[in-house]
Amino acid sequence: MQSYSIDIHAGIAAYANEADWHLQVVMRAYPEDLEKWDGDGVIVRSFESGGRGEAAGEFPRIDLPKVVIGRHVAADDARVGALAADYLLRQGYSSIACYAGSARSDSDCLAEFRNIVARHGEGIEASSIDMPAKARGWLERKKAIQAALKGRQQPAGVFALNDELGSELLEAAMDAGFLVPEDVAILGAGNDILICENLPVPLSSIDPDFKRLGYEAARMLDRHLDGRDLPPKPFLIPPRRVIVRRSTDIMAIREQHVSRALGFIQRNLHRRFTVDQVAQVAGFSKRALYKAFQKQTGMAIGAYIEKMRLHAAESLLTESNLSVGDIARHAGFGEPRNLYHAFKRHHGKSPREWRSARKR
Amino acid sequence: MIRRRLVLFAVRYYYPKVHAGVAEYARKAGWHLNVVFNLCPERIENWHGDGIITQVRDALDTRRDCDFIADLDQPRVLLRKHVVPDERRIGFLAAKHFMDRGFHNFAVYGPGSGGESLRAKSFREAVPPARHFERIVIDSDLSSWIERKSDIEEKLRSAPKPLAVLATNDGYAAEVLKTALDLGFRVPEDVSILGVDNNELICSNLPVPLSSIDNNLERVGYEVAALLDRHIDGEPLPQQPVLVPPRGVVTRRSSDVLAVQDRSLLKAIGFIKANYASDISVADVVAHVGIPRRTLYEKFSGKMDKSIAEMIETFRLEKAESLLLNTSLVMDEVARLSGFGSLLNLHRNFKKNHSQSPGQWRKNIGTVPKWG
Repeated sequence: MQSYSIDIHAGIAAYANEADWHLQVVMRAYPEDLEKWDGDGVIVRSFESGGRGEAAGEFPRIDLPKVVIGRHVAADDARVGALAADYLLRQGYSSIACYAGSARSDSDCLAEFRNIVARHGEGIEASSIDMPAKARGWLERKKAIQAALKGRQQPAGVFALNDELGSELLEAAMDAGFLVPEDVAILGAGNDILICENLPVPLSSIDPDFKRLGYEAARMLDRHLDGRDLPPKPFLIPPRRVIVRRSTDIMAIREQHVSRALGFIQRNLHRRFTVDQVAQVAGFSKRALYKAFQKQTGMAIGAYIEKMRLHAAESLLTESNLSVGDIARHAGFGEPRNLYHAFKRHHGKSPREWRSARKR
Repeated sequence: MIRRRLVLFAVRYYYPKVHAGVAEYARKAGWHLNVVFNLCPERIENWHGDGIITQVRDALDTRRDCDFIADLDQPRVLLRKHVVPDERRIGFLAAKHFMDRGFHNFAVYGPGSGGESLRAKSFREAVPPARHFERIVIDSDLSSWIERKSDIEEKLRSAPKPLAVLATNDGYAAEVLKTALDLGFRVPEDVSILGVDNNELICSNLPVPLSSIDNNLERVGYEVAALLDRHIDGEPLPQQPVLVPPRGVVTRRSSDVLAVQDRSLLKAIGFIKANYASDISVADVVAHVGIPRRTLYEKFSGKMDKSIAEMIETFRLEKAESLLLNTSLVMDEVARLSGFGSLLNLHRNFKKNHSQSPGQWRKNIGTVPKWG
């Protein structure tokens, strides 16, 4: 392996154990080390993670049956991207972005990520945090991240292509004063526990199921040794799931936001306002507010506002002598006809009829 | 509020255990740790933070262009230079492991960049000169597999058996194991093998599970991080490297054997192994074997280089060490369960073998020291 993954190793070792192989491990391989190695078969990992199809130059000097992780068996990058998009959309951020460092941002993973956001984002677009053409160094990357985050609507949900980049993003965001996850929520990929669980804000990450990847690579090699052909296209291993840690855990915060929305509605019942305004005050996207509100109160926000206005109008109708027109305005219905329609819908009566029925 | 420290951990050779130790310290100290595993220079150009943990370049690195980190002028601590495993102690433990099992023929296999590594040298020096010693040294310039293999084959064939081989890491140990089995030797009966690093994924998944020295790499990672933290505070780096003692030998099948043919010796050692935890004496061993005390004593000192009493002590000491390392039992219990019986006895044996009390030993070798 050129780049070592303990989970891939564990998966290969598990198969080796079952199949009673002698597994020779070279954790940092130089081609020369392995020249004329004389075993039965080889499993190698391609140099570039995500560099599928580019692994042809791997250990050319070993002329043995060979399974290349990345070429014959690979993580299903597209599904990783889809899972990330789906997860961030369900969380309901105001904006969504992805970050691939200086790497190519045209990978299957990011393409599918954008795809899913475009299809289901209902107006939210997946922008990428792109690096200026020459930004190779750390500092340039950090500046580019911070500039990009400042231009995003918050809360922003950002998907980083791997956990190392997630850690980088987290540092840049916190350094610029953003709260994670309140302002910027970050999702990594790889679920490298040593990285994810030891950051100032533990990092949520997609578990790519590398253990299974290693296992399947070993199994494929075993079958190949028995004479079976290697697949022309990689056998794809789907990711397992999102492991949620604090960097995207917005449930706790969401409660605060909903109660902020409730307070605003109470205080402003006497005037007209839109759901957009409530969302802004509460620090949510409109979409996110709809969802969180429904979840927490069991009601749609529009229905809730109307119910509150109705209650206000009812008490004014019974306890005051204000005209229906005034009451419509005081309860935030604006035009009297809005009040009229609401009463017809809820009570089957006009406000005037409802008032006289009460007074009798 | 104190500003959070930003630290870069950038390595070419990735050891999960070292990372675990560094990460443990980072979490406790509230660092923000940036990690770069497969180090290539562009990734960290212009990186700017409070400090860097990286490693010394070695001969192998010259094969690739990686002048990493040279241009980052920030406090930095180097693995393999400022904090290193205690190689002498590793060599000593390996030699002791085999001598306790009655071996007289030794070999060491591992890369010496042009010469002998400190690990291999310490092992050689810990073996009494009277015993047979082979070296299988890889010259790192000629380290293709085919050359390594023919060297191992030649030495394994010609060396007297039973042969005890220390490989300087688990990967090399797996190569020796494979070659030995291919040549038709039995492992561990003909060739007994010990690796270093105690990489579970390698050791437990070989046809013959591999014994290995746990060199406490988690602690190496933890100490290197702690050293950096103090260095950022202004403390100069030590002239001499910080030595991290190994935790001990983890015995699996590849060395779980007695290199002893003599039936009464086998019977005696078997009895000691089964009963060291109870209150047995030399007289009990003699009575069990049923030959004169003098004869048995001579067999022990001739083959095992120790008396019967010392053999009993060896088992008790190993048990006590393992209890101290892996449990939080109080000293009284450790003394009782290891067969030393009394606290006084336990202390005396630790002082004799480790020049420190069992309490000190536990504190010094424990995986990761307690915080604060």
